[in-house]
Amino acid sequence: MGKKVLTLEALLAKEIEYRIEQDDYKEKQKLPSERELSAQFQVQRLTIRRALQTLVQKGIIISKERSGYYVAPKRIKITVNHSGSIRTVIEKMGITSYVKLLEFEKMKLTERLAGKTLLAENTEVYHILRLRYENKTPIGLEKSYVVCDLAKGLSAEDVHNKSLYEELKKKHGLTIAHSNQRVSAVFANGLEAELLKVSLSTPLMKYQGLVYDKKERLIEYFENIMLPDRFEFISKR
Amino acid sequence: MTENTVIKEDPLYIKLEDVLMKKIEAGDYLPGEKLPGERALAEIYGINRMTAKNAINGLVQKKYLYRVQGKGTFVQKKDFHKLNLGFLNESGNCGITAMVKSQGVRIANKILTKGTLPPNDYFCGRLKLAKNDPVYSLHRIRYGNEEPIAVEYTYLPCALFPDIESFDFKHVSLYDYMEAHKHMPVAFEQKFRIIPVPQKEAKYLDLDQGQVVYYFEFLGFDENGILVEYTESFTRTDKAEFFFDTNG
Repeated sequence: MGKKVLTLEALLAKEIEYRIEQDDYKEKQKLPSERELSAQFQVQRLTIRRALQTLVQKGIIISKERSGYYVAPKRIKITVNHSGSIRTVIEKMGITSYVKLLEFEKMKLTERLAGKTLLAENTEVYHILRLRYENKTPIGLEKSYVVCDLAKGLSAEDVHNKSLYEELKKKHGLTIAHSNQRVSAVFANGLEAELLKVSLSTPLMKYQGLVYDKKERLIEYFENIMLPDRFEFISKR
Repeated sequence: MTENTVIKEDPLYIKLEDVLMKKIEAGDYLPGEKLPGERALAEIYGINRMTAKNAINGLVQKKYLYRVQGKGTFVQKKDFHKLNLGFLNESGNCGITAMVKSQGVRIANKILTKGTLPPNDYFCGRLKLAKNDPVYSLHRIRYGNEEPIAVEYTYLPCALFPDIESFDFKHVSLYDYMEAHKHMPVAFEQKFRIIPVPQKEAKYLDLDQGQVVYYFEFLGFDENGILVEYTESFTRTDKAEFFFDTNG
């Protein structure tokens, strides 16, 4: 075969990743020590250490000082093929979720928001700002603009620690038919840093979307700022 | 809740950063436009020069601005022409090459490594092959307009592409090659994350430690449902963003 295509450490990293995927090493479980792994794979300890470092950098395992390596907790999976509620996903994972309402007000679309939603400037919307918690840790700041005409009388009580989409369906007969979404990376501003308990300018995930009902009416525009290490997007076709 | 009751006041330079970012986003300062100097900014906003300098430094680090030695600070061009890479979807050829071409970017590749791998459980497992079936590996840096956009590690089953060793993917598009063998991927299963850029990929993508990348992992299936590709990619966040549509 001549020259090596991949380094030994790259191959080892993949072998260990495979074991994690196969659930040989389970979520949050401690991995065998560097010494044990180097014996198992019959390689030098330094090579194993480098392989483990690769996995730490990719967020697949976590290194705890004086303790060892642990499989990282599972991320919250957002399936992009259908727009479900994040809450349902989180609860299915057996995690306690809480959404705290920070702001709820009726407002008129600003020029910037009108541009994003293609609605007329001054269209009345409910502006909802919520902070999502996983167990007791804030993981996402969720900003949402819901068109007033389609959800008349929506109140703060309706969206505090409740699924917005379920409320819209139950009380306003609005069923989500499709959405356009986008994901990008941004840097934490003062408000985001404070609420999500990260340092200023920490890279965060920005998840935006336009949500429509069956009649092609725009129901909602959302802008979520999320901790990147708690989420992943999955798609299957 | 008002910001002031719960939220600490931001330092002045952060406030200025915010103001400038909004102006850039709103197009008050256009891509490629020269920004007023530190002294001018300090005068305009009634702050001291050090504060203006800190704000500019912050925005250079965030890639909103870039410096040209001896000339000044300019609004970044590429942020506002991010490639729309899309989530790979059923619409067919979604290789970076195809998407980038349609957006008028010159694409180039650098091959980091290529060849048939020694037997490895992971890649055989991923491609649903029998243990010890040969897997071809192709690692590339993808450039758009001479700047690195992504590092891609692609793995293919050798059995489907027996002559793959004789092709040079510096010049041949991998998807064109796969199509010629009637194994072009048309359906995908994928995973997408944002992660801190790992050391090795930081070097390839010309990024600093602490910055993040889009991490993509996907399986590609041809029109007969045969698993033909496993790819891992690391993409610069200032060069691309991902769009997708959902139903139901």
